[in-house]
Amino acid sequence: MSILIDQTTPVLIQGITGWAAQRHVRYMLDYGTKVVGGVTPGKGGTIVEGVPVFDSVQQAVRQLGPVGLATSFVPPRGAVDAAREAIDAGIRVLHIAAEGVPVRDTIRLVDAARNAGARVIGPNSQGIITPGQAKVGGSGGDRPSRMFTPGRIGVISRSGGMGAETCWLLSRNGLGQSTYVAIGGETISGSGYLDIARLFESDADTDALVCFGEPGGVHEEELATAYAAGEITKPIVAYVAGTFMETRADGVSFGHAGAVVNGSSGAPSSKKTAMRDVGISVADRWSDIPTLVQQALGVDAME
Amino acid sequence: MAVILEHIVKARLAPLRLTVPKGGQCVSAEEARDLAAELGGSLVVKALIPTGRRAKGGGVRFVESPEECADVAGQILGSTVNGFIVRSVLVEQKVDIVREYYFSLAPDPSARAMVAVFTRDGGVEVEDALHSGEGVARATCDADGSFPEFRARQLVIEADVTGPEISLLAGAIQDLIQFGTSSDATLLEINPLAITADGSICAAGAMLSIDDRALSRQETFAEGTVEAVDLYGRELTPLELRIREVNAEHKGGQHRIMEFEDGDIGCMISGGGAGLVGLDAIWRAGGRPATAFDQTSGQVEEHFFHTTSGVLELDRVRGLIIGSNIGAMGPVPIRMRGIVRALKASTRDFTTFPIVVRLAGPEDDEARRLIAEVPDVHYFGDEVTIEEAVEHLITLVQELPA
Repeated sequence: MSILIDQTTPVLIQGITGWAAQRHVRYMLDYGTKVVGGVTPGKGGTIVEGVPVFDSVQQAVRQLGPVGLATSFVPPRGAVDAAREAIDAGIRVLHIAAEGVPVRDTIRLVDAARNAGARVIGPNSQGIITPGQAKVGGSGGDRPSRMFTPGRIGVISRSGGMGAETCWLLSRNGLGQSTYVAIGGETISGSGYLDIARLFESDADTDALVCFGEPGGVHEEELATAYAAGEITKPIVAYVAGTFMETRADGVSFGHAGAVVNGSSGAPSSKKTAMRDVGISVADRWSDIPTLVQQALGVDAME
Repeated sequence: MAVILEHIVKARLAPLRLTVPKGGQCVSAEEARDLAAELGGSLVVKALIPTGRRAKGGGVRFVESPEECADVAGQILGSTVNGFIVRSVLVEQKVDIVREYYFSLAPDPSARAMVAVFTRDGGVEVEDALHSGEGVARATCDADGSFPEFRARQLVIEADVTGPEISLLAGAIQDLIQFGTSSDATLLEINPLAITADGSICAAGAMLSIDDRALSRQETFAEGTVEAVDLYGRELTPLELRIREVNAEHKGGQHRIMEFEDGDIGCMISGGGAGLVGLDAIWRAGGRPATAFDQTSGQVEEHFFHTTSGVLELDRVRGLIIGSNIGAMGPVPIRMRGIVRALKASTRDFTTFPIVVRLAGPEDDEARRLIAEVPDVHYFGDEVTIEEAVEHLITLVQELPA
């Protein structure tokens, strides 16, 4: 098992004829992703890397049957409309790569998804990967095995690059991953750390969670609250970047759009404290994450 | 975030169900005097800069005559307030305030919606109120930005407002939410939202920042927009300006560099998260970052040439770390060619100015060959972590003769 995607999940690629999409379709197929079709309005009937292209999601679903996950390479201007099209066609797991979707548009999308019972990962999500089985988005590029190995650690990150790097760090220390989810570094995200942590909690093949945290937002705080309430019981190891930036003036934003700190709220130090206070293991040095995971798993096995 | 200067914001608020103080923008003491004479009475002179807390920084002064107005405007113009050089001031009539409330609207990551905040105690008291939570009410707006008037009434009632002010405030708040949402506001703040002696409601202070990603559909704000400066909280340095110009010249992966005046370690680690990890590692190892760096997706050789050259030219810098995630998608050699050109052109001696490069990713074998052409550079691929590369650099710098 895994979360969100495995080798049996039928995947539809929205915006499949775009430049970045064409490159990543090849990588996804090579990795084993079950890509069943693609959509680009006006390009219906063509073929990309052996994958049939349709004019609409509705048309694709009618031809192909149920789609488990739609991954979108549609540019920011059309990303929300494309996502709503997928929801309208009955798809309930959406991955959105677009970087630069206006916050107001994301708010509307999140609302539409909520009403339909659909799950959105993104926007600005680098990807989702279940090592050894399937991946969507750009995670791992053409050489996913360089970073990702199959295993039992669930990994969550806003940053696509550091999330993948964290998987690389785990892999080189013998800790494979069940699934890695980049939720995107936006002010408003379709899914937060807690949403993904809940999935890992009920996944029989995940033993522990690793979260790469950043300044701003409420992901780490929400996770801490749920952990304290016993909603998440699996061990969590977290790192929160941005300690140096915290020594600078208020409101400094560098890194991601979602990393705006207002006063003390959203500051790395307060996030670390919130998590440590409820028993989450927090690494001060990122390279120490694997040691803490091993410790957490060891302690867990003894109990 | 793009910040809209206050005079533009107030002009846009004027048609709503509230008043704004009469006044305008002045770029000279003479203009300020003439406008003051025209407006008459007690006045306020405010520095037009893209930041809050101007009163604390000396950017808000009250005056009683056109002569005093010219005098004060002359003092504020050209001065530095909260890190910004003041190029124009807002001269407006002083509002006869009876009571001060506070209103703000911003996207809320937890609610995943726009959330309005209203407090019974506004003005300079607001930070205490927000901290204690007393007399503070919050409301989540509908996803389409609509907010019925009855909910605006509930909001102010929840903050302990009574009497005729309930309806007055509710009307203004409903309009402000409509305005803020349709403007793609990342923050709309009215402080104080004042009740005046004549019983009207007035936006005495106003701040607006709008979503960078929505600027193309907010072109009516173009004139009053100060792009991205609030990220720095001060004027741009020559290096920051140079990188901005290079960005405009060459499309593709745009670079952002931020200087820290008190630092001596150049940091060019890209990937939003990786950059933060690198800065933290410098700090933890006892170094002081001189720059922070980030780039949008896409690799442009020319950008790397200019950013690397620019950092090497900073006198106070004693060592440089260049790096990125292994997962960064672009081929490494494109970046490396720009970096190598800059290193070769530099007059720095890399035996006494340590350079550590940690770039792994697609085609890094070729990158390794390119960087080998520059003597004395410490190059790592994925045999070390970003932190370990940083720690190596800091050790090299600390071992240098003082």
